[in-house]
Amino acid sequence: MNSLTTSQSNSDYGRKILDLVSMMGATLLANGAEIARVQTTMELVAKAYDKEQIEVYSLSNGIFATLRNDDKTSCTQIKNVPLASANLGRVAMINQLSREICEHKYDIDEALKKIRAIQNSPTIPLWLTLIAGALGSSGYCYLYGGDIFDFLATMPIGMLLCLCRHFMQSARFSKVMQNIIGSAIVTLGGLIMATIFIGLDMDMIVTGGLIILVPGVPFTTSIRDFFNGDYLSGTIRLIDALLVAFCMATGVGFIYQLFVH
Amino acid sequence: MDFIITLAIEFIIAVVATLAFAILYNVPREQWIFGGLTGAISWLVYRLASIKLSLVIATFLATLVVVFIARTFAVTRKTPVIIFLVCGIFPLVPGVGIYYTAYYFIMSDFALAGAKGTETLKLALAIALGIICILSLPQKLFLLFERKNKQ
Repeated sequence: MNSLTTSQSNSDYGRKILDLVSMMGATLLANGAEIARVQTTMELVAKAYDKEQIEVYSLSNGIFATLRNDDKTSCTQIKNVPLASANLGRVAMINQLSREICEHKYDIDEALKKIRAIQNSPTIPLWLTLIAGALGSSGYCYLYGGDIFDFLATMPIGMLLCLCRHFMQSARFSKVMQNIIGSAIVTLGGLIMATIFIGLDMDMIVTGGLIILVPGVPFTTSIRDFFNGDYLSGTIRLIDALLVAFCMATGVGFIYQLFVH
Repeated sequence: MDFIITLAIEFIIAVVATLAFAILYNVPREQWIFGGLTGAISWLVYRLASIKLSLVIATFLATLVVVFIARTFAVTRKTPVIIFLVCGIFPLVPGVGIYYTAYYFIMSDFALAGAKGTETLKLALAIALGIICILSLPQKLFLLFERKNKQ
């Protein structure tokens, strides 16, 4: 009887650790970390809780993990991780958490609480997003060769794009539509600006606005996955990046076809 | 002299613009200014290199420098490298190329559309190659910076 309860608690403990580990992996993966980091983080954290027998297989959009307990029971988890937009702050937080777990700072229940807090950590407020969008797009507009008037004209467009993206995200628009509509808004905004204020360089305004949509994170992650030998995951991310680029081109093309051609 | 002033202005704007992108990607507050600096350095290298060299080579060189800096920051600031990598790559990513390719394609100027499309692809490949070159350097090299920092 006694041995049964210990084995039960042993496998319960194992299940908890697997929960923790796969939650950490899923959060990393959803926010743009590369496969190798996901796998090593999961293995290191399991090791820190004395569960050395863990196998992890991960793709860009899913995690499979099996953990063996000392009493020869084992548990397995499959986690579906849809491709999402990256929140690099969460990657940094998980990194910090896994470092602290490896220093044995938390027991398993505290760690579970921490990871839930990270998963629900607040994103930046809308007003800051708008300011950042305005500054980011107009800054690159200037760098790509716009003058000070183009710089000023890009600001409201960057802001408008971020605002629309915010609403499209909360209305759960598909990523494809988000990018097509986003780039169409930027192009239309640039067209209107250049029509109202003669002398503005429309190309500069539109490229400045579009830079917000550029798939920087999937592109870099894809390269790093390829570099680490995770070709399948690298391909998934690369397709993601290419698709965003095509959507951007489609949005631009759509507006030009309608109003200019 | 004029050129130096232009560069200085562009450097400051690049810091601010990249910092704005760091905010959009929810980068932690402590890393904002370092993200901005990485982006500005990559722009500076790109500008200086593109005076004499072709755009592709200039992008490649800038990527080399910026990935090296990103890895150094990642070690000294104990933060995943992706944060600085994304900030540093942003000024180089060929967003302009995507726009012009679509533009010429719609305007039925297929020769120019093809040229711009190939150039965009070349730039993306240059960035990829640059990242891979610096990622191949052993981690030990970057740990040296960490020890220096502590002493």
